[in-house]
Amino acid sequence: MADTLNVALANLASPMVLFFALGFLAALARSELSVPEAVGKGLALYLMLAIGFKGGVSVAEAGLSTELLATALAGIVLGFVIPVIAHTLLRMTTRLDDATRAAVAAHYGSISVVTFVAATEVVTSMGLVFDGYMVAVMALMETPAIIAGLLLARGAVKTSSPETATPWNSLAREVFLNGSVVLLIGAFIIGIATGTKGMESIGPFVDAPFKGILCLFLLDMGLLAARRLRESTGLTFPLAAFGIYMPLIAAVLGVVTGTSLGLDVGSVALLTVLCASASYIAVPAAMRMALPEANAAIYLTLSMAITFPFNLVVGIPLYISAAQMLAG
Amino acid sequence: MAIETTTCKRIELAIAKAHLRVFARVFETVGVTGWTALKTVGGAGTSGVWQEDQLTGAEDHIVVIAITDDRGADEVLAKISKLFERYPGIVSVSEAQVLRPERFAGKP
Repeated sequence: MADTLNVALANLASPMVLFFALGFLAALARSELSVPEAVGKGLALYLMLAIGFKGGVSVAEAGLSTELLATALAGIVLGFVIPVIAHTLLRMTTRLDDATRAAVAAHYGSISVVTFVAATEVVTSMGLVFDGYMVAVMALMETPAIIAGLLLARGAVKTSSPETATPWNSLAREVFLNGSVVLLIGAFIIGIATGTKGMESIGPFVDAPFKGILCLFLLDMGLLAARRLRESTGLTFPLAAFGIYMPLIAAVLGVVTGTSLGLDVGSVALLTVLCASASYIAVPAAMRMALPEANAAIYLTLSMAITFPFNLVVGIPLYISAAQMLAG
Repeated sequence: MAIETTTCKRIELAIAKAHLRVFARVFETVGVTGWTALKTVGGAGTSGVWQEDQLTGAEDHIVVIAITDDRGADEVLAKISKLFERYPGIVSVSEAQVLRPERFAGKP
């Protein structure tokens, strides 16, 4: 218990959380502080490139293992299972329409790259190790939830003519070739292919500025999260509560699965974070296209303004402590 | 000397950026070969206030303008009214005076 508290306090005092809080408070106070759009997107690209490449190099050094395949398979299965649980809970506790319910469920089955990146920093700062292939698991967990969400929404989609049908070609491109998946997997493969030599040549770029850039990105996230929260209109108490308890339920699945697979503590913690996090980059774009009748303001506010801050401030230390207790 | 103009229909759509391809397909089907999409920075609608979505792009809206003849406008509106069963957005039609009217004639 004391350990959990120490991890939580250390996390609260970390520059990452403090910069996020700065952005959040600045936006609540209606400050004019803002990160230019192109800069924000550039920072996100950098973070995905760096985390993908470092994961690939780590796999090149450690070699491929059956553990990787088992964890990847487990991640994909969890990507299908978590949306079904989320969908059931939303049906029991909220009055969301069918399409919005399915879209929200898809967000919670998918993952948040930035939550994962922030968690890797906390895990590393605590002296824990994690397997580099967790980056690949993360990339693989992005899309199953989108498919699950579409299956859950089958009854909600009313198409009376070919004009209103979902443009499947565009959707498939969005799901399988969205920017974050391409960059993460691409950088991961480049990391595997170039290994230690590759790290020697671009290490100063992907390593040294990483924490600072993460802080700047989290400042932007704080601004965006608070503005979204301020402008949200359809956020009811049961929905906001869902944004808090759903990550905890998914985290239980993650920590139990990771421990059952025999992963080390750091990897269990990261699998737990992946399960608990909700997407706010890849899935919103796919859902907007696939389920246009769903209310985007609801799923974006929940994942970005409720679950992301919760995971960053409270969730990550909690999930690491759970991993230490079960897998340590 | 008065410049001779021709009256056409100006169709203005406000839709989600993610749905541009779907609406553009309508123009293509009807034979309206020219349209322009404009970025927006924010607004308010049935889902509340929104602003340019800097991170996900999921809430980005655009305004699409097309100018066509009466037949083209009628066909576009008929098809778009069906799209609105699923896709959010608004459409307005107004009269516009144009030069070179042959450029705006819908191709049947």
